[in-house]
Amino acid sequence: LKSKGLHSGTHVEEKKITSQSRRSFLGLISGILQAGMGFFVAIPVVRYVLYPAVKADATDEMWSDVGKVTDFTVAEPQQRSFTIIEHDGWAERLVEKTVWVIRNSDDSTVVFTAVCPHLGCTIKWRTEVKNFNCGCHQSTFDGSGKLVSGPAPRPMDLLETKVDGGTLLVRYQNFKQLKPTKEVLG
Amino acid sequence: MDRRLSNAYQWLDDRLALSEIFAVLFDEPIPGGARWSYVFGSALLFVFLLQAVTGIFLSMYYVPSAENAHVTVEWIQKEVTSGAFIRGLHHWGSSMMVVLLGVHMLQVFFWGAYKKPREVVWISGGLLMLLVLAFAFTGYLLPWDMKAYFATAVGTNVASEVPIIGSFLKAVALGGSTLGTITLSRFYTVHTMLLPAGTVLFVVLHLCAFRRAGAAGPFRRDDPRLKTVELFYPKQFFYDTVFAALIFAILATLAITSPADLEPRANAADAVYLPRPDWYFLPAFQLLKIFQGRLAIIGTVIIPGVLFSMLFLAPFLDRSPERHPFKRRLATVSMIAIIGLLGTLFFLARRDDGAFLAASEIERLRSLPVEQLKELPAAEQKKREAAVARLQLDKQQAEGNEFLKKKFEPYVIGGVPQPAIAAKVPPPPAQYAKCAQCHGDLGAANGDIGPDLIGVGEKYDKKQLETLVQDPESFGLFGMDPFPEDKLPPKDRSELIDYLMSLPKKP
Repeated sequence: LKSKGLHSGTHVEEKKITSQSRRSFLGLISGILQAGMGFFVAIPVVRYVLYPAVKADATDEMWSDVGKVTDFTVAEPQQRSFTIIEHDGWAERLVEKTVWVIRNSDDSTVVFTAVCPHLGCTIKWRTEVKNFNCGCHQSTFDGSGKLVSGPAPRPMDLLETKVDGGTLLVRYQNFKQLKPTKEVLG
Repeated sequence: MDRRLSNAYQWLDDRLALSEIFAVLFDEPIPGGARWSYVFGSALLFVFLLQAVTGIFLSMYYVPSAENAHVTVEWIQKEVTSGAFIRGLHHWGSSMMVVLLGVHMLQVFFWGAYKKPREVVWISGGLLMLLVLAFAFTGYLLPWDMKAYFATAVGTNVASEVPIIGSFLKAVALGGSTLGTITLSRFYTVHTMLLPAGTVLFVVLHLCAFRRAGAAGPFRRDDPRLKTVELFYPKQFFYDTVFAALIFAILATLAITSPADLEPRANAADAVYLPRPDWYFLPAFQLLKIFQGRLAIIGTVIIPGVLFSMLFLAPFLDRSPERHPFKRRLATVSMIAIIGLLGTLFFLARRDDGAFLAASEIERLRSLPVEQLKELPAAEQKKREAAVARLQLDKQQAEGNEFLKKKFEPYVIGGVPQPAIAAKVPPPPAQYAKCAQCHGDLGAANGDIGPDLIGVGEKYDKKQLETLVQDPESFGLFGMDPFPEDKLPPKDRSELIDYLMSLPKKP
């Protein structure tokens, strides 16, 4: 009687008959079969959709050639650009990256990314005053990448390097901006 | 628990009238009761839904441009988890649609179920058949492999055989005068937007008209089963579900055991490729071969036009209420003749491609000396052509299989990698490191403020460079700082010029 408020009385009667007849063994088996097919479609579809999200990114393992260690002068940090490959689904994107290379008198090398840890502008070396400077918001770093002044939250970001047969290799990575410590992006 | 469930159902039912919806959907009366032979229509609807689901997810990664279509399909096929399975379901699903459509249509025809009052059911069904064929034709192009490209080239040429408006029709289909990226994007939109919308529309019309007229039931008017009437639910619902599950099992098995093929990327310059359509278009393809030149219109327009007109007009040409196939001799014999015609065309198409030649026979025909060929009897010459076609088709198949096994090569955005430039160029004298701020690292500006310095020696000679450095404005270069003698003594200047001249040529 409660449901009468929403529908006319005749519907209530019909419903009793039909809802009774809906309960059937064949109906149950049909439901199970349909759910089974749904399952066998849904599983591959979910795996397919998630694939790019869960796939390990191969970019991290790439070492870029920045030249012979002996080609760098000891006097000043030097800029180098190279292309790295960023994987993007079915495509690979060649992206140009810029780094600053410092060769010490003992032939050890230090490589910084040229991306400012503040908001991502490009850091330049100022020969006249012997410091690094970001033109956007005037963050200034000394010759060893340490923050001297300006809004940057941390020193310049060091990149991992290795020397192979006299050639300097660098593993380029992107780091999150505005964080007090270096955090790899992505 | 059961009580709570039924309370929840009651609550929803009060608001949505679910019972009424179920009653409309499932309480369809079936004269003579549920039968296994009634499963084909709902099986078609099931495969259509499966095509919609798999198609939607294929479109998630597919890019409809001549540049990217093939690589995205290759990526789905080779790299994406379950991508080959989903594409396989979609590929085999299209053939399954055509098979089920044929069975459903023939059954309705032989059962005489197209007759009054079911004319609208029949005609909407005929339109759905045309839509399914259009789905098959447009979908074929999308992978942009050799097969896709050349089969579509043949298919769109058929349109140009239509009198008067033929070349216009072809230009509309291609979106211009050549088969290219515009063709691909319009086929994609037709395949994924327009045809699905049209199909949904006509499925609704088909089902509404069907429910309005009611199921036809057994064709014998004195069939004893006709005394009983069963509702669609639960028995016919069960039969339909079991058949759908069987179809699904077949499609899933095919998708796993024989993956959808993908040939190398379309190469319009390939002069030897033999295009062949999918099996269901082979009879039409054979008609094109039989009627050539001035007679082409018979195969492309007249025969298909007559067949489809007869199909659509069947309820009006055959007006007697008799439904028994043996008592409608003309209709039954005509349909069997049409099936026979299609089967014969299919057989001829396969024979022309050497499908029935034994390997030894092919080898014998292939190795016939060239000087003998002209003297061969006509039948033997035709056989040799078939053997040659078979060899080419087998080669194409093998190349396709090989391509499927090849490791996926990503598409490279942004041109050719140039990591070596910096390494090849000697570093500048230390005091000029600053030049790189405008002219880029080691002279390769890559879109920085100044132009490239590599290759500058090809543009200017030593003398010109000396002037340029001191007075760039005399060269029309107003952006560069001048370096007069007080800033750059002649000794340093000639060192700089020597360095600039030593830079390599542009790659």
